[in-house]
This record gives sequence, C-alpha cells and structure tokens, in this order.
Amino acid sequence: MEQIKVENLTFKYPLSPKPALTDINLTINEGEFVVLCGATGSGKSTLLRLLKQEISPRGEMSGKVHLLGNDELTIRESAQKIGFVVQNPAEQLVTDKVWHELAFGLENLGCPPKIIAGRIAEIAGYFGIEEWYERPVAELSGGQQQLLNLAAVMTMNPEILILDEPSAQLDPIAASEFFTTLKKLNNDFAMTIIIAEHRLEELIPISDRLIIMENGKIKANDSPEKVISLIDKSDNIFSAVPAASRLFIALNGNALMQKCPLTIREGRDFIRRNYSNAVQPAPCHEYSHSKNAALSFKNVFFRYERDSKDILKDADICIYQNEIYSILGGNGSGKSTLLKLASGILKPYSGTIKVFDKKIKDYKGKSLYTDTLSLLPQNVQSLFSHNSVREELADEDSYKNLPFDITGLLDSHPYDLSGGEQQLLALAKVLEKHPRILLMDEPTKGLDAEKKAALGRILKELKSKGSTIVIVSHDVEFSAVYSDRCGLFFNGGIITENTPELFFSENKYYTTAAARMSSGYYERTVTLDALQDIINKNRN
Amino acid sequence: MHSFEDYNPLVLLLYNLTVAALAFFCKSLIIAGLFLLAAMLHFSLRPGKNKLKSNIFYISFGIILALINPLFNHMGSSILFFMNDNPVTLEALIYGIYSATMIVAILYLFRVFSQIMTSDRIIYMLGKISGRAAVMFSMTLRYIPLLRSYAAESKTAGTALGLCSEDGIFDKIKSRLNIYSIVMTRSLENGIITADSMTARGYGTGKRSSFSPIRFRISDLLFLLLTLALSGVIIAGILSDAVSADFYPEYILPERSLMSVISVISAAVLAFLPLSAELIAKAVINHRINSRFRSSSKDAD
Repeated sequence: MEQIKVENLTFKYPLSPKPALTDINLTINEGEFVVLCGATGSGKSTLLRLLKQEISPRGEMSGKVHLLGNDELTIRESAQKIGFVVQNPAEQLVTDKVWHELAFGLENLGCPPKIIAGRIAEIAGYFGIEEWYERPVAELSGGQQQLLNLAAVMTMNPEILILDEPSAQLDPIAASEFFTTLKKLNNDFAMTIIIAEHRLEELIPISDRLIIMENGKIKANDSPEKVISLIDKSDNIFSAVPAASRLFIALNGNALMQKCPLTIREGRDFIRRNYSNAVQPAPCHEYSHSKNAALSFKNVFFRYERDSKDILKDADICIYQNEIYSILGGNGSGKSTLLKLASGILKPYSGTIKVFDKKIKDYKGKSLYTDTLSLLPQNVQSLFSHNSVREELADEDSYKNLPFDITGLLDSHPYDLSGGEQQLLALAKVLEKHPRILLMDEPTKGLDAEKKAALGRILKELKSKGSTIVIVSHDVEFSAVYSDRCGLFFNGGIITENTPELFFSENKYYTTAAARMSSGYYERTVTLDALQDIINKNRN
Repeated sequence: MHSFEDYNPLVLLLYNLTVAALAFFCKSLIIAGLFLLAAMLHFSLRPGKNKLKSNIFYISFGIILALINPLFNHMGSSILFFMNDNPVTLEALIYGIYSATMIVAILYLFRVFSQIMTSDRIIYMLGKISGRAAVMFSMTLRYIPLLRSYAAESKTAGTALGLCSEDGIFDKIKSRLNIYSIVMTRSLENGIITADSMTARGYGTGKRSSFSPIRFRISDLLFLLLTLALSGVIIAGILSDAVSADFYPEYILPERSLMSVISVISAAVLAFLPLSAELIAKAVINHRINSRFRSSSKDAD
C-alpha cells in the first residue's frame, strides 16, 4: 500500500535565491526501509520535514504530498501517525523522568491514563528499558537518550517513522544498537521507515531502498545494489557508501559483471574470488619521529572523587613533536578525561604530565594556553557566544591565515552553520591561540564523509606547519588514514600503540573495514587506498 | 500495606492540612502536644542525616516562641512577676506554650511532607489541577541538569582556550559572564529542537490528559476515611466545648466528659497514624518476607 506519495514537489525558503527542493517525485510503500543520503545541504532535512506538517519549514511550496492515502492530515493525526526523531538526543527530551517522556505524546493526544499505563509498559518491555523507567533522563547516556526518543515516539503507535540523522551524535556502538532496533521495528511491525544518514556502512545492508539527493533533486532512487552500482568515483556521494562497495567502484567492478558487495563479508568474498594475493605489500618503513616529546604522562593516576575508581591507572604516554596521534578506545573508558588532564583542566593525584618537557603546573596563569596547547571540545557549540562568525574571532583578520577558508561564513550566525562549518569555526577560534599542540575530542562526530576528508587534509596541513595533534576518537577509519600513530586506551592506560598499518592489522575486532576485508589475505592493509593499490599490483 | 510516603499524595496533603487546622483550632494543649510528639517522632525515625541538628533547631525555636507571648501579652489574672512595670502572667505563658507547640508541630508535619513530595508526586498533584502546569514543572526539572551540563562543557572549553581564568576578581567575573552568555545562547538556540519535539508529538493539538505512575488505591481510600472520621470526632468535640480550654482571664480546662476523652483518643490515633503506618508496614512486610523465606528454606531441606 502506498503510504507516502510526493508529486512534483518544489520548495523554496523565503530568503533563498534558489529552491531547496526541485520537482521531487517519490512513492513509499508500507513496510519499506528507505535510506536517504546526500551531502549536507542537499535538501534531505527539508524533504523529511515537509512530510511532517507540524514542523514543516515555511516557504513557497508547489506540488502535492499525500500521506497515508489522504490529501491532508489534521495536525493531531499527523502527530500521532508520523513519528519524527532528529539528531540531538538530549534536546529532544521534554520531561524530567523516563516514564513521563514515554507518556508525553499520549498525554498530548488526551489518552486516558489507564491506556497510557498499558502502552508504555508494552513499549518499555519491547525496548528493554524497564530498568530506567523511574530514572531522570539526564542520567542516561546519549545512546540511551536517543533510544528513549525513539521509544517515546513509538508509544503513539505511528504508521510512519521519519528519522533525520539520528546517529550523528552517537558513538559507533550506540549507533549500531539504534539501527538494530530500527530494523527490528521494521521486521516486527512492517513499520515504514525513512532515515537520512551519513553513516551508511551499517544501514545499506538492512535497507530496501536507497535514495540519493543532490542539490535539491533526487539523483537516484532504487534498491541499494542498483543505486551503488551506478555511482561513479567522482560523485560526492562516493565517500559515503560502504567500504566494500567503494572498493568495488574504485576497481571498476561493473566491468567484471558481478554484484556489488555491500558488507564486509561480501567484500572479502569479492576480493578472494577475483584477485590473487601473490604480491604482498612491501614491509613498512621504520617509523621515524622527532626525538623530543611534545606531551608526556609518567605514572599518572587520576580519579574524580575520593572513593571513586581510578580512571587513569599508572598511565605512561609519550607523544612526540610533530606527530598526529590518535587515542582510540571504548565509551566511558576515560579518553576524554585524558585530554582534560593533558590540558591542565583536571589534575592527577599522582604522577607527572609534561608539555614540551616542562611540568604542566609550572606553566603559570594562561601561559599554557597561549602559543602552546589548545583543546577543541567535543561539542563545539560550547564555544560560541556571539551573533556572527566575525565576532566569534577575537582578531578580525585571523581567518586569513587559516589552512581553510571561512570567508563565506563571516556574517552568518554560528548556530545557522552546518555541523561541519561549526567545527571549522571552532577550529579557527582554537587556532587563533597558535597552539603547538592541538588536542581534539571526537572531531569527526556528526560530519559526513566529505567533511571528514576535508578535516583530515586540514590536520595534515597543520602538521606540515609543525603542529602536534592528539585526537581522541571512535572513528577507526579516520584514524587509520590520517594518524602517524594510534594507541588503544583501556583500563586506565594506553595498552598498545603503533603506526596505523601495524596497529590495525594486529587488531582483529577493533579495526578498519579494509583490514577486516583483507586480513589473512593481504598483510598490513588497513586503508582502502592501500587495499586498492595492492589489488592493482596483483592484477598485472 | 505500604509505608506512609507511598500513600496517594492527595491523601497525604489532605491529612497534613487537616491536622494543621485541628492543631490551630483545638485550643487544647494535650491535642497539640500529641500532634507535636507524633510529628517529631515520625521525622526523627525517617531515614536521613542531621536529624539531631534539626530537632535542636525546632525545639529552641519553640521555646523562644513560647516565651515571647508572655512578654508582649499581659492579659490573664495570675501574675507571676513584673518586668519593666508590665505584668507577666501564667495564662499568657500557657497560651505561648500552646501556640508554640502548635506551630512547631505544623513545621514538623510539613518538613516530612516536603521530604516525601518527590517530583513525581508533585507532577501527579499538579496534573490534577492542570496538565500544562505539570508539563511546565517537569520541563523545568529537565532543564536544570541540561543547563548545568552546558555550563560545565563551556567552562572546560573556555579554560583550555585561556578564556576562563580564575586569577583576580575581574577575570573571574568576566569568565563567568562569558560562560553565562554561551549557556544562554545555546539553550535558546536548542530550545527550538525541544519545541519541535513537543509539536511533533502533538503538544497543543487539543485537550491533554495527565498520566502518572501514582494511583489511588483501596488503602488510600481507607486512610482517607480514617482521617475524615477521626477529625470528624475531634471537630464534634471542639464544637461541643469538650476540648478547648479557656486561656483568659483564667486558664480553665474543659470538664472531663465522655466526649472529651473520645476526642483526645481520636486525636492520639490521628496523630500517630503516619508513624504507625510506617512501623506496621515495615513489621508486616518483614514478617512476611521472613516467614516466606524460612518456609522455603525448610522446603529445601
């Protein structure tokens, strides 16, 4: 049954010269799992919001949107039948307790309390969140909050579920759990799901349809296999598709007349079936680094409270000058704490931390933060307090010396920028202090593949100018491509560290897609470029 | 069977208001004293810290209250002594003791009440009046930790950029203002997301209902009826002059009658209702748990 039918939809924002959406035609049937992708600003969010009239943007609109077989839904019907979840887990929560959040939608619809009690009990059971039922929402982690947002929408018994980048703020494990729940809803209740996402690696294998948007138009709309096989290496969507598919496209797999692989398993299979492994990658060069340490931890112990457990336990870390060092590790393992210690915000109860061979406590006043060290926080919004980008920068002209261009953004309000642009503004603010060591907390969070690559180039550029960069991240793919060394933080210290080739090829679980596809076949191949390279050598 | 705080909040509110009103109107030292004793014991036996400190505060406050009346009120016929040429009378002292007992009893009652009234219970009560008020209250409670986390993040971010420093009062004020402005901007900007999330879930589309995990049970009804019946008896006692004493010009206790005895007994039962609910509930539940698991361990043998 057709649930959504969009006909010749064109939409223009009041102050914008060109339309945000042009001539969109789209039909979505009951029980379909549809993934919508496209670069930031391609019109994904606008399209999704036009399907949910209560929160539709204002502007000039032509064409028709039919929902659930009606020409028009009342606001109340739309609120009940179309569930909507966006990317900010904490800000979407309205009430203070989990039970109240679950009940909120049904209360708004005027449901009798007895029915609400039954419905939220069912939903809490289905989502496995009974244990939180009486807890304040503020105590939940981001992943738990986002699951609660989904559950709170599901209590209203919607027929369509629309999600606008729901995993952008989540770590990979929480994101994966969230997608699994979505697929379960889709399988168990034939729930129609439309999701806009940058993280396609895990979504594409579970989706029925992939829609690609570009400049306000639908560029492709078909099953994921078909859409991906039509993608070209030069398309800006290329960097977003799953690694196995990217490899396939890069090797011009269409010429082999084979099905495009979507998952790691299919990718491994594809490599083994088509290419020999007679030629192995050359042994990697000895890693050479500066002799001088930029940042060092010696026997550092830290805990937050007298009776809490140690977050850092006898940690020894040495980061050399002019290297890009990635610290990887699980959620809540203490990676961010480590950055706060390195930047002198927290103080260890035992051990020494040195910045350029000088103890942190010997840096008086603000001297540590001028021309020495800066921290880019995970949530960059916590830096913005002015009404325009120009005012955010302390020095009017400092944007001219940046390794990237923000000239076009100078008169915008910081909150009107996209996630990637906000990141650049924050970086500009941080670079104004001329740090020789730049600490970054989850810099790739919420960025699409293209913006990540841009950030990576900026880091390389900063390095070439002599900076030392320390990144704390969940993003193994990014770390593998852009860092000089990676370290695994676990149980209060760095357990293993090495160059990305050795680090990720020795890891079996905590590793990149390319390493998972090539392990046991090609040695030390951890990035897609390297994998493509070695395959090409084996072709001849 | 459950402890006092698990009774329906509306029943608890009614209980507290009734007892407070009776203490105020009874004009009986015995009844006010019973209310005070029960409330003080109940407060002291509840879990929590610094009980002794609070008790010392309440008692000294009561003594001061009791002594103030005879200093300013010179009615009554039994003069104890003169102070600054003004008579200090026995009657005024007794009245002072009565009013201090009553006020401190009410303070204890509402102290316990405020400890019991968690946000869920307040939302339940507000929901009975207005669904919107309940949501507003809940949103406020939601916003406090959110703003606090924004402030903590901004402080960390600002410190590492050398924007927040704590050297000197000027720097301190400047950095606090900076954090404040970041937090306000962020909460106002992100408030749009919350507003959308409310609209998307049908807020303001029509009449709304109010859900709460708190219910009205048979035991609540029993507690309510008991409260009403006992206070009915006491009110009858007050109206038939079997309870209230005369304070001026001479302190005269009411004549002892069946009605006065029944009233005092009812007051005692009413006063100790919360504490006995607490103790009985604990004892019964413990007994049931013990007997259940003793018998099961026998089964195991």
